[in-house]
Amino acid sequence: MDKVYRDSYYSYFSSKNRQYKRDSIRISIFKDVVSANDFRDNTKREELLKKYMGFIVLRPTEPNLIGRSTISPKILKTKHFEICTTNIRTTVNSIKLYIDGFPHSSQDAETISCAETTIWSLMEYFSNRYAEYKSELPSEIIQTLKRVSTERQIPSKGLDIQQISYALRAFGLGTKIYSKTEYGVMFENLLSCYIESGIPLVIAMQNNTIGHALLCIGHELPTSDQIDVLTNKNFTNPRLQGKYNSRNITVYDFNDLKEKYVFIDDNHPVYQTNFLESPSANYLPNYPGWANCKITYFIAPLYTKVYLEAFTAQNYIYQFLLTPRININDNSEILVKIFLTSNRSFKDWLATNNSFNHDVRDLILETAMPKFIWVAELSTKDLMKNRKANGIILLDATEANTMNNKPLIMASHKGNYISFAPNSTELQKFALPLGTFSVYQNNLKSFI
Amino acid sequence: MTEVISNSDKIIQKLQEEGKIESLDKKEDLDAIIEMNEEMEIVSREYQVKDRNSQISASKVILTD
Repeated sequence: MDKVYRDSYYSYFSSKNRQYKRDSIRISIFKDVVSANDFRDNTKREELLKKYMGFIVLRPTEPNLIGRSTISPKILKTKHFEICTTNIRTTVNSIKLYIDGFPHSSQDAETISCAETTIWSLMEYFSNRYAEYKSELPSEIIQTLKRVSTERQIPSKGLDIQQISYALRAFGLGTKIYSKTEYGVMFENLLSCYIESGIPLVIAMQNNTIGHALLCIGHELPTSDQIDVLTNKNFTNPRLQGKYNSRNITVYDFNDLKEKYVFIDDNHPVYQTNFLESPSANYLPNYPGWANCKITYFIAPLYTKVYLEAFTAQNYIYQFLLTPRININDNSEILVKIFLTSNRSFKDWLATNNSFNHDVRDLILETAMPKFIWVAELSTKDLMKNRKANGIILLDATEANTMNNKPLIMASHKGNYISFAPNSTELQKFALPLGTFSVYQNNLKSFI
Repeated sequence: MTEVISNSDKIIQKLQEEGKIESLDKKEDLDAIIEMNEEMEIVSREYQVKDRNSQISASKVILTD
């Protein structure tokens, strides 16, 4: 019995004249040989868990048979990437097992199209990862969208981007929509920034005839060559560009790296990789109609209290870097890596990071912070190739009002530590060297 | 009786004794804040337009394939 297909069966397939079976088949995958006796031997439980690589549900909905599935990236031939994952619990032959991966399903093209499948997959991820959210079955997604639909919803003819955003908001997420037309050259950078933050994104991919929803959940592990070929950041804001030009400061943005991204696409097996410029490249050998598809929108499903979104946070950081006390020298180069993370994960990483200056570390650890913070790591190409940085800026993600440096929690670079004086709106500067430190890598999981 | 253990207090006290703390209230600091406020106000307006237009156009794109 599979909860997702059974929900579709009772809400739709059972109402048809033709008989559809209500049961489905679940295939469990192990990376080595297992015997039936292993499932009745208490000493084999650990071994079974180590060998367990996930499951695929086959449902009686030809030709779209692949239902709910989660597969560990460990069994892939190519897994040179880091992605968002969650633990999915299941049972195999009466034994409880779990798998670390990303939930996936193909669309059945009747109760769930690509849009509903994307919503289901995303909520399956969030509900298994965070206690604040719950898993949403296809009928619950359809029911939620009833009040904003002007036509019948089944058989599904897809959803518009605003409806997808509405459903995710109804399920407890603070969604933001970004359009390529509006954000222009910043669009891919913002997408990359959210992926670097460990936030899976709903992607809209289009050409003249195709309109498809899929998820982006990670990216390739950056290589030294990719860092080497990073080009100077061109700011869309001409005043900002003018200021950096006048001081001859070259800026590299880590989120501009040209690398492949990892997608969850209901028309393909899980963990597809493509460049952002050619998101349908894996379709082309068999489906030429998908040529020239481009990413036109993405939806960022944020925690509801992340009021400071990526565009404003990035602009604030790049403006702040030009202020005199942050000590960016004229005629210099700087590489900036910007991402969002939770206070808990950040402090957990920092508490035992011995590469950090211990006084700076204690000051940050004892600073009150909101649930989510924006982090800017300041580095150089050479340092970043070794996953090192020599400066850091932390912003309060709950502070969307950027006047008078309100989002700033602290900044530290080249001997200066800047923060607000206790119970004051006045900034103060400590002469406290930071040195170099190992960069934060907790948002995404690598399987190498 | 509770005792608050704070490494920060010790670090700040030491920095104070060594004269390594400076208030950022000089003219150049205040000028930088005023300039940033002006720039961020423009950014904020730009973001509002982009955000609104993204929402409006998103309602016209149906994803079904």
